[in-house]
Amino acid sequence: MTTSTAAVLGLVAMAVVSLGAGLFARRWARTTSDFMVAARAVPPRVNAAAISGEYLSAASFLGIAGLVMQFGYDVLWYPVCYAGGYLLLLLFIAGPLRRFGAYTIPDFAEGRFDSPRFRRLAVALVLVIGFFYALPQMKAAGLTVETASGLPYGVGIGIVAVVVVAGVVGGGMRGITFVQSLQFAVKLFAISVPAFLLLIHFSGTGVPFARGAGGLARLTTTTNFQVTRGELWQIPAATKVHVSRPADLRWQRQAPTASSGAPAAGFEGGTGPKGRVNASRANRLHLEGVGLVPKGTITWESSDLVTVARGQPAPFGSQTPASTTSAWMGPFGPLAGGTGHPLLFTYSLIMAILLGTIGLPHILVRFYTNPDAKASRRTALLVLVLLGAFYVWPPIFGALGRSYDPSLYGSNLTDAVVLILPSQLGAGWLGQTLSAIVAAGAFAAFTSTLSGLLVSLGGALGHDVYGRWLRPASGPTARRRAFQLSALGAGLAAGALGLLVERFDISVLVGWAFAIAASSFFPLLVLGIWWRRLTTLGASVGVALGGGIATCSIITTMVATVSTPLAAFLAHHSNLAVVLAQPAIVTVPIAFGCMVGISLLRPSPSAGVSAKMVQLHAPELLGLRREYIPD
Amino acid sequence: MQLGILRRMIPPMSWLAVVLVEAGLTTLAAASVFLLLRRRHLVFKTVEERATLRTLAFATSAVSTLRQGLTTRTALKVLRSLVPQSGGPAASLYDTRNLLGFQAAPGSRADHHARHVAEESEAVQAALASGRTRLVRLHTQEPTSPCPLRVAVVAPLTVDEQPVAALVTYHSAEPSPAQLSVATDLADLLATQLRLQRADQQQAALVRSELRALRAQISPHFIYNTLTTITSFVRTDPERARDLLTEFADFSRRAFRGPSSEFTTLADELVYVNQYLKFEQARFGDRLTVRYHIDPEVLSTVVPALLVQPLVENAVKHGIEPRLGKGQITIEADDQDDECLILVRDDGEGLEKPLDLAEHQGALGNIDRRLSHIFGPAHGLEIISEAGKGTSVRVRIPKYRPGVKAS
Repeated sequence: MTTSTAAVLGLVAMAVVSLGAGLFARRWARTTSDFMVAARAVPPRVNAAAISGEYLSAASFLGIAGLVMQFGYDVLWYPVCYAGGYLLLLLFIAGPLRRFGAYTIPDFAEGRFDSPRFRRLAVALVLVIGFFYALPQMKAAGLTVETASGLPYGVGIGIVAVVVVAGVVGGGMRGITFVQSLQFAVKLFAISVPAFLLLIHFSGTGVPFARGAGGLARLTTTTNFQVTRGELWQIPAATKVHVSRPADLRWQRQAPTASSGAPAAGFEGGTGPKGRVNASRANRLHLEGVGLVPKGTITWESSDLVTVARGQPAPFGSQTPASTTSAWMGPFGPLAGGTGHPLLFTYSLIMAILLGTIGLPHILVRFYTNPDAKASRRTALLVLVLLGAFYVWPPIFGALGRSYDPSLYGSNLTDAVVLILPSQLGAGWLGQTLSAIVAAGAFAAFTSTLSGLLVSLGGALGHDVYGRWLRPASGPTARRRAFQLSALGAGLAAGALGLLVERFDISVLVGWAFAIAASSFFPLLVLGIWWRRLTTLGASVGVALGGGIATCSIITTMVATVSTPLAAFLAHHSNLAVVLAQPAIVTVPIAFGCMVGISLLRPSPSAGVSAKMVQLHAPELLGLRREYIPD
Repeated sequence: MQLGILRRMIPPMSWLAVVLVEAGLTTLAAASVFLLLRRRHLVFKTVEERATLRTLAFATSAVSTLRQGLTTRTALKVLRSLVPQSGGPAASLYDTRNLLGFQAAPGSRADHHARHVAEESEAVQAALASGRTRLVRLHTQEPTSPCPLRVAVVAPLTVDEQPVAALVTYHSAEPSPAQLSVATDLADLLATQLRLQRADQQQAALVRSELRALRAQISPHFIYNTLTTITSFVRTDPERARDLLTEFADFSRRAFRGPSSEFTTLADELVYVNQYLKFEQARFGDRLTVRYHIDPEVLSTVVPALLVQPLVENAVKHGIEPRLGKGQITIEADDQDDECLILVRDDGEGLEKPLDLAEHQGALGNIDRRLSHIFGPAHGLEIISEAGKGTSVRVRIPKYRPGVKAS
């Protein structure tokens, strides 16, 4: 049995376990109902595990490790802020929102402002954020199946889309609290145990951790690369390579620029628009047998099997900037530094992720399960702890990848480092078991988040768009069917769009969903809960502008990867490129400014705002909520 | 070093481009949002159209204001928008005893009249007593008074043939017949709103009294049956009898406390049901089995108080009691997207013919009416029954509905 067979077995096992857990949860609900009724609630620790399980998506399980391997230090902001967002949630949102009783964010928008119209706007944004979040999960699905079984990327997406949609449509979200908390356990186990064993294993190889001789990532094993015509390699230092047949290649001294084919800032491999379009002479090289490739960028003119020996500097593919270990290990490294505006980029990234966590539609609904504000805050705190325990491990995987399998740079497979690294343990039982475990963990990661997202998307489309606007008189069966069709449609659409995003990093895509949430729902929730003078007009303009501009910026950035003139323009205006690719630093203040400004300029005290504030903030034990508070 | 970073961050020309593009985007988006939110009626052009519109706007705002009841606060709010409609420089509102509010048109020099409004109070009392509009001439004692208000029209507001308040409009000269009829029409309009408010109150009172009735419905049979059951245990199983008695004391305190609130959480409701079923299980022994199937996600859903227990009681009464053999009651709460689906099923006799819930006087009709009142007609009870197979009753409760909250 090879490691890839083991990985496929891991995938299948996880699918079976998920379904089995769903069924078991139903039986568990039946047999323990007496207990449930007596306890009157799901305990915060179970709920916290469920929320963590739903939250830890493919971006956390695969994406962070891949990004750390590519870019190093700067990426650590991702796990820090993914977890840190829950601190803000704990401080400002969890308690009041639970007292308010709202289930979804549109529920809150409607209830706080008594405006069904505003609800539509909120629903539209739920759809945008949901789709942006679903795309990277699809990419992870394609990547995982591809890595585990060798099936093409698109087939993997298709299989996973069908499995998840079938689960959601067929009522697979039953017992979701139980299933998701189980999935959290699986993910934590699947990332920590392999990382721990790999650390032990590699410490015996004598290669220093995260350093590499001469400040370069050097290959730890002799590696064969299958290169295709037109493929681009960055060679950080003169490298001896062996070609299977005579090969021609073009050589440039400088790194490529955005206009000459490499992607723009904010993208994988973003060498950034810092470099000017340079006219350095393109030399032609001819290789036969063993040859020495000098430092620079080479483009292969024909397909070939290239062997690079152990101890040689690792070549970098088009998706990762070649970096020395010291640049990789310091702040403003290739990720932020490559944009030309490292400080701006970093702050914008921090804002997007830290604030965006609060606005994720599929996460806030899970807090509804808590019986009261106290349990809700306790849950948020425990989520913080559980996520902290998880996020220690992905960066370790990234660092292990750079030290012990830098060949992934050359084959552009850094996103799969968590999946591939265990095979370094060899084809023995240990390597096979670990491969199966990480594959199962990855499967748990994208299916749990995808299921939650499809439920949110299906609910927004089926219940709001169909059940409230198109056919307000529709009965429960029709609405139920609309929900199922919507979930099906959303799953298929996300799958189809997932085919288009193969070239984007998982975590970068997720970061965009966070940026949109941070510039729309975060200001809405914070001001809506804490500022009584916020008006409906102010809130809706703020949400529309913040969310709208963020979405437009990101779409512009995505379009720039296929439109050469736009890419050239952005290469020229690097600061514009930065705020378009990472818009939170502009759009969050715009949203806040609009909300505060318009509310102050056109005050319109809404009826019952005092009663709502009491409902949001008065502790339940005071029993104040029943009393009428006149304005 | 800091400076270096800053300089790298800000090459001036391209920053200009950023600012311009962002400003452009902002303006564009702001314009479109404003266009979307703009009230359509701004396109009305002629004077008459605008006047009509103002009157309509006044009527609408009066509806929402007065539906909260007649208080000093609402009176002032209504008067503020009413004065421009009345054709006079000022107006005031009285309830049966006191002046609630006086409002003068801005710049009318009528403000100081507020100090001697008592002048017309006698006429107000008379108008309230007779239920007819009265005309009062003011300042007849001191014709040189600088007060511009010379005549007051007192129009009573009649609700259910009882004058409950009076609207006083002031005029600087003898009012024309048209002005008089405007004054009485305005009073009629306000009276209509007060009638609506009273209807709201009555509706809410009705719902509350049905809730109270529902609690009362538990009592007689049930108390008798339970006490008999407990008596039967006193000799054979005194320990259990004592437990049941303690539970019963707790249960009845809860049941008799009256409707402390209209809503509760599903978890609390289920605790109540669980307690209730303990007595029924003691009474029926192994003839009655109960199966719960509760998704824990919906335990915190807010439901109308006394929603499930009457359904369960109904299942016991019609599904288990008439039969000789064993019976099972299933209580389910399903987490379905944005709704909680509650199902109470028995495998008893079933119904001979479909139930007309609208006319039903028992617990089911009561619950159905309450549910429709709170969540709208689409959320009533669904009863599926097959003779000989049993009955199941389904309720769908939205997880969130503005205004519905447990206390």
